[in-house]
Amino acid sequence: MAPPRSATQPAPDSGDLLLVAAGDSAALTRLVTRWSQPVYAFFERTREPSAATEATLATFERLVVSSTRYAPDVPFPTFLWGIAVKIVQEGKTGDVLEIPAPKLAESAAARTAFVRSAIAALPPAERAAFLLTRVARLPATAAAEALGTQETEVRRRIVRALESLRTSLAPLLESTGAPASQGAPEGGPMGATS
Amino acid sequence: MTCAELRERIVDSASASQGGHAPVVAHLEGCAACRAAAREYGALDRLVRPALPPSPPADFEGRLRLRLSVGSRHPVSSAWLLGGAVAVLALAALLAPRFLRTRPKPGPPAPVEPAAALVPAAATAPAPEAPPPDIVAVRSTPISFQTVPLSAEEKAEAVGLHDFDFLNSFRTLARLDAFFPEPVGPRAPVPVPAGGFPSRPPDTPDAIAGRFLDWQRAARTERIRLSGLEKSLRDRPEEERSLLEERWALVRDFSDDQRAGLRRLASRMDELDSRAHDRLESEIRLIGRLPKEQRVARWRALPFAKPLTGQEFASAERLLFSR
Repeated sequence: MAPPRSATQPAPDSGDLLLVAAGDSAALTRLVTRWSQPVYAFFERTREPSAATEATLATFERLVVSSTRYAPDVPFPTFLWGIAVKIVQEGKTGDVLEIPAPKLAESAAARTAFVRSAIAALPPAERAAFLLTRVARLPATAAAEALGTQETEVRRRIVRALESLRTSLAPLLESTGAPASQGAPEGGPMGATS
Repeated sequence: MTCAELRERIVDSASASQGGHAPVVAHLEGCAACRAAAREYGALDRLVRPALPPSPPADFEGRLRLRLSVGSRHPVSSAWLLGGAVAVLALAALLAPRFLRTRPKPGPPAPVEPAAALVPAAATAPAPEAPPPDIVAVRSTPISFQTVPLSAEEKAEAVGLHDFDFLNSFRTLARLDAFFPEPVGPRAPVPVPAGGFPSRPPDTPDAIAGRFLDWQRAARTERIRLSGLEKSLRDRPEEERSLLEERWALVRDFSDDQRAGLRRLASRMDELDSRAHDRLESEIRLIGRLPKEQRVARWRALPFAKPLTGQEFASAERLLFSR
């Protein structure tokens, strides 16, 4: 059960990270339970599953190692995503896969690989801003904190990333819109204007 | 409002409404390019979101604890981390008896020992005066629980390796291009099956327990050889690795004899000059596209097939008809 929040008690995640620093094994389990899926999903959009698992493991390893330096006035998500961002920016910038249109049309796996390669091909700073806001679903203000930059700069990076992806993912955009297997048609931040 | 300003506003829901919607709507009404951009930004948002949220492997926490226990270089390597890792490994040890088959003894059946009696033997050294533990058979090779336990570092190394049979075969598979479905393009990805390829490193408690037992009985030179193969595999481009793992799924049920046949077959193909090799590859690919009932006659008519040994011939035929 999550501990009650109060003005004097840190939020559960921050509190658990302080406990991790103090050697509380159960606190690590709770953090892993709450955060391993979103962190894994963050990496899984740029690399295949085993590499995404490896990056997620590296994120949590760094989280534990740096827990002794954690100051509870920093929101836990900012701290965690700051680590994940460093790892995603360390990733190699690859090339967008060249996949024939018929293969893209028939294979969900090919579409997934295509999307991954396009995101991985973004420059590191744009890739990080894009993943934080589009996959981790952070508002630009929170993404800016994790990236250690200004909110306006984050929005600029997102626009640049989206413009690059409009070009690189054009074969998928030109078909019948986003294929159903790729994403649920739920309203995101763009929902109001698209 | 410029196009750049508009786009920077609409990419974040919080800032899109700052200052009211009116300027945004007014710009969109008059700018077809921004209307198209807004539509496609929305489509991209849906495109990059997977239909089902992906999840890390079920043993993620165990792997994390193992990793933390190995990484003694960092400041938080305290006993609780090791304790967590030991708990995970103890779970693996508990599951290990599933893999163990007591060697049948002649005579009346011995009374059944509680399974727990095996576990301390695996985890701790027996007292000097205690009788030696039973020799047990793991995949036909006798081992003793008195084997030196693996260190955390050895365990971490062991769980990172692909299936050993795959590691022993992937180079051969890479040389037998002609016998496998042609990749769509030089860099086209192979679809990864749900749950990953069967050759993937162990990722369930059962598989990890089995791997630890295999690693425990492997000689040092064998461990070095397998780790070298793993490195060589990982040095290949990702799409090539996937292709080889997909090929492995087709041959993993081959007998040892048939796998030896594949290696010899690959060597025979390597001996051909490049022109003959290319011609043979084209012919075999052509045969692979024929209906199965027509492949036998065409394959046997190839000049290359005539001098093959029975082992090579059988392996090639099975490969040709496995797809």
